[in-house]
Amino acid sequence: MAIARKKDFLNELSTLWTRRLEGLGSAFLMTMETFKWILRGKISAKNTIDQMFEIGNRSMPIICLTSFCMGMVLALQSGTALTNMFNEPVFVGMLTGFSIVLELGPLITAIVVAGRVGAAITAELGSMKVTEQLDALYTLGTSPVQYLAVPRFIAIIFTLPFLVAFADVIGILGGCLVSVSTWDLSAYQFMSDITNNMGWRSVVHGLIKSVFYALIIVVVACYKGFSTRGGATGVGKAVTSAVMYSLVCVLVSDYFLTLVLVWLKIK
Amino acid sequence: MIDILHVYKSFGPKKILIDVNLTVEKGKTLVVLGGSGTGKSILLKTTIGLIKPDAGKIIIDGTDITHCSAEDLQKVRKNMGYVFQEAALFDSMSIADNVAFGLRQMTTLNPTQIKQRIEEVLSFVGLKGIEHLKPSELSGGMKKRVAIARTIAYQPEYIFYDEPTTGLDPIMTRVISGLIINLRQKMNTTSIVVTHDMASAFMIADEIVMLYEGKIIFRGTAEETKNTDNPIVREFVYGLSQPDGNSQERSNQ
Repeated sequence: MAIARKKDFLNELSTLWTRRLEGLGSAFLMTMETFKWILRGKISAKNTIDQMFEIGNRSMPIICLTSFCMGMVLALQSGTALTNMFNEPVFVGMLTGFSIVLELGPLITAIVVAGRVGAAITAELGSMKVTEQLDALYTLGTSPVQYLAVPRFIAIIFTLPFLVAFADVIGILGGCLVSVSTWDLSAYQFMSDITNNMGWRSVVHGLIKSVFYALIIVVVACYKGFSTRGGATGVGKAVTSAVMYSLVCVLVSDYFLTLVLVWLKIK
Repeated sequence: MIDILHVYKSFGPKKILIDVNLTVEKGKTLVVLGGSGTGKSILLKTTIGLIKPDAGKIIIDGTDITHCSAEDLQKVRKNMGYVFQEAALFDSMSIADNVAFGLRQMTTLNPTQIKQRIEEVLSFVGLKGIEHLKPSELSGGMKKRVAIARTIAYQPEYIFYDEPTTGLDPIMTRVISGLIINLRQKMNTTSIVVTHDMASAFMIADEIVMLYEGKIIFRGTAEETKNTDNPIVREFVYGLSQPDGNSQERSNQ
């Protein structure tokens, strides 16, 4: 009895891992096919621009709000800690600036885009899958990867770094506002604290990360959409799973990306 | 001509198609009958190359689509159209864009010619003047007719219909069946139609086959189907239970 249970457990475990690996392989093949279409130049300019507008314009207000609040919180927290240590809020600008540009700007933007844009992509492609619209594309001589994934892929990869740069600026402005109003620093002091200590490499560090996050979000969203099964419930599950996988992958990859970028002295 | 040779398809342990052999001559309409879940739609999707069979060949105009390159498959697909069970219209596009999709992807027509062709095919299916509407604004029957219009717009030689009349009222069923007959007469299309609807099947079929438990168990003309002694086919056609109780056993399975 115990041996049979053990066998069942091992069988289930191996099936689970086989499915996971199959999924990983399929996502990889989808990504390769996307690159193949891009390299062949089979890109719909209209669809890509529409997607860029959708991603950029509609994500802007929420990114603006979150990054501004994040900047304010950082200035408040770092100012409090530094005042406790040194009796005055020294380096508030530097700490806030570095935190935003290197880490929180790209991360918060990626989280917002994964939750808003990634989920929307999975829901749209998933609905098309369960209503046979993807099969219809095939029968009308069109690859769904070329028609649907390629424009979204290019749009996210080009738009996310711009959104991150925007989030960085707004976050720093939020930090500056708190520094001026709470810690009696002048805006000039706050800004020069950042510019004196931060080089262009720090900005590039954040932007390089954002390209990788964009890649993760769009691959997961498109793959989950294309592999949706089982009607409306299936679409719901696919969306939840896409957002969860995107966030986990973004957060885990953050550590390794930081490790590599620091090693390459892009910091 | 379509040749389906020794085709097998399984999903996990479930065998869907077992050694299916079929030939459809040019200009003929073959109707595939069978209960729900017997693999009719899988057979249709396998024939058009949407699903790869586990074994066997599907030869269309001399090209084995199960073993050809993606480019060759694409060429063969230009001659094939598929009318989906739920129409599968692109809901983000207008009716005009839905109908024009295949024309833009597979033909070299200019925008004026495309516009003209959209008007032609929509009036052929009796839906002139709805170009600007979205699929969500149409009824089930209208969606199916738009799906037919989208398929015939680029004039494929082969058309596959997946339950074209399911869920429609008797009048709309006759309209769709009439369209399928019209198409064969005007464009000499070769068709495979999957249906449950016996009235429509008898109206449009040159030949009828019955798929049962993954195998083709009957093949004949409409007249032969009506007069067959095969108990499974008779049960399906006339909805009669067998005196030996096999029907009950089958439904329990």
